[in-house]
Amino acid sequence: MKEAPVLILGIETSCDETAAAVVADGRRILSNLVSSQVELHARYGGVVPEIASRQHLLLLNPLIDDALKEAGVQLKDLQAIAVSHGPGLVGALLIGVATAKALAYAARLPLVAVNHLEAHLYANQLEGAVISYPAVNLIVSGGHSELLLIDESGAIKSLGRTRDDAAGEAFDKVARVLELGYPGGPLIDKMAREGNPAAIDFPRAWLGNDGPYDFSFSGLKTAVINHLYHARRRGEQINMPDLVSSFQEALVEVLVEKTIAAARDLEAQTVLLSGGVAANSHLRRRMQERLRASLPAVTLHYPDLKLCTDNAAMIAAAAYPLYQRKGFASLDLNADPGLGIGRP
Amino acid sequence: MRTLLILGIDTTTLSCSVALLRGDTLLAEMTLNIKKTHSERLMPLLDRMLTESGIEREELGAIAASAGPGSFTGLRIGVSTARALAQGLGIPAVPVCTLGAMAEAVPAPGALICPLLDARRSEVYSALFRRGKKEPYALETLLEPAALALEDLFALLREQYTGPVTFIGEGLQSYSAQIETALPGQAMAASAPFRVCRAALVALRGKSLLREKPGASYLELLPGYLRRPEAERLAAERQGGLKQ
Ligand SMILES: [Zn+2]
Repeated sequence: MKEAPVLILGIETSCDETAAAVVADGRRILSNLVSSQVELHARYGGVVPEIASRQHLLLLNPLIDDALKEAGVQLKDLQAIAVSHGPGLVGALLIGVATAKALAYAARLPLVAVNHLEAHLYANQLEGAVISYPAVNLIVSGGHSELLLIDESGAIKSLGRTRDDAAGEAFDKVARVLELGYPGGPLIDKMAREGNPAAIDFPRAWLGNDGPYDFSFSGLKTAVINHLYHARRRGEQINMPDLVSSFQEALVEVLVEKTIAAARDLEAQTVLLSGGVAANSHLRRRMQERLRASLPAVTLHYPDLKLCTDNAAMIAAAAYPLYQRKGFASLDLNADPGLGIGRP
Repeated sequence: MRTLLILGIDTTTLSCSVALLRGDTLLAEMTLNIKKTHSERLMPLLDRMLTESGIEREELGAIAASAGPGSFTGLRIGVSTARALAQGLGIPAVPVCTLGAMAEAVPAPGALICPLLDARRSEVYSALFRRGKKEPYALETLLEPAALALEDLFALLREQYTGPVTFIGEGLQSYSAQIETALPGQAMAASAPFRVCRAALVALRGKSLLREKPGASYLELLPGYLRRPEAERLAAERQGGLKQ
């Protein structure tokens, strides 16, 4: 007799995406709903925590109902409820955590607490990719820029992270200064295709030996602002596509080279990309080219666009191994905005 | 049919409180008035209360949650929890005004009651109620809940009301001296233990709301912030001097 699948409801509210999903056995997506608040925050040029929290509260419960309905299941058919409890915006995380705890309690289901950052890894697995280990994972989004190492046993180690702005944040801030709109990533990606990436030589923060896998993007952002300021003062015509293309080139080069260095140093079999910025076409192309040239034996995986950005399917998928070894959370679970990698 | 068993929840201020009300009988109430996050305390407290009362969660008939005004984060924890409990148990749920629930703590017939919470930015969340003189001694709302300057509240009370006003709520901690100076002889303060927001009073207010709307859905259990997000207010001010 075939064993019944383990159905887990995932809940995600760590930033500006309200999400709910039902996943079977950590791999098969039965439903994956995301209600984005991007437009609400657009006029502020970034996520406003209080507005995000208010919106999560309004959207989450009906979204859970819809996710269950789309999956064709009821609460009582589930085996567990999973929620991301950090890192992220504390007020936003609290909505997911309070909702997951109360729903699990009402339905007498076990509760699984998931690290949002680690969950991004599971997006690749949801695509059905078979991954060879060790793997180096670059997570780049509006909230994070991290390099992780995952070994055969699934253990995750943080290799490095940004010391100031996240990659997606740099995209947003530059787009705001250039008055391109929000969110900046997709807009810059598109405009950069018409520009010359070598037009302006913006600085790359390699950080040397004290942070071979760390990132820093605030200097680059400042350089773009200064360039704009001086060009305007001199009354020069600004070639926007050249400017954003050169900015993107500088940012992507650092991401790619550091990832390649980590993959080489740690003898990785696989490079994984995840997070919203993993949707950037220049990053995907560059990473593929550079891997082929310098580490041809290493395979590159990146998830579908829908699974790159924050979603709840990855939360449910990440909860599956925890569910299997009965790693359940208790009713006093709290949001942990600064939750790091490798901690429970 | 058994009398409706109502769960009350209040996390809008420093206190974290849960209660069980069946008809007019308060079966249980647990209140913590300590500095500990509501997120960590609320569910364990609820579980403990049900266990001690010998009541299964499935026996709950409805939920009443204090929806604000109060701390934005605090009230959202209570409201989110109440919404998800109602969703999971398939029972009705109603939002209760924090200030109205607080006023229920003053039982004297005919009393003018003014609940007060610190709203920061030199304002308070307040309202004015009058307790009925006869059965069922219901509260009548004289001033709708609002965020307003303390001075404006004083002026209104001085000009429009002559009788004694009983102040209640956490706001007394910061403002009792100012109240005494502004309204000599008119203002009375509820004694300290009665100022704490209590879930039993939320459940009591919820009971009458549920009588009007017995099938109220958790989707309508929404926060009553009384204030826009700061970023929204500033943006509106920049755009045309619009003040909230
Ligand atoms: Zn993320």
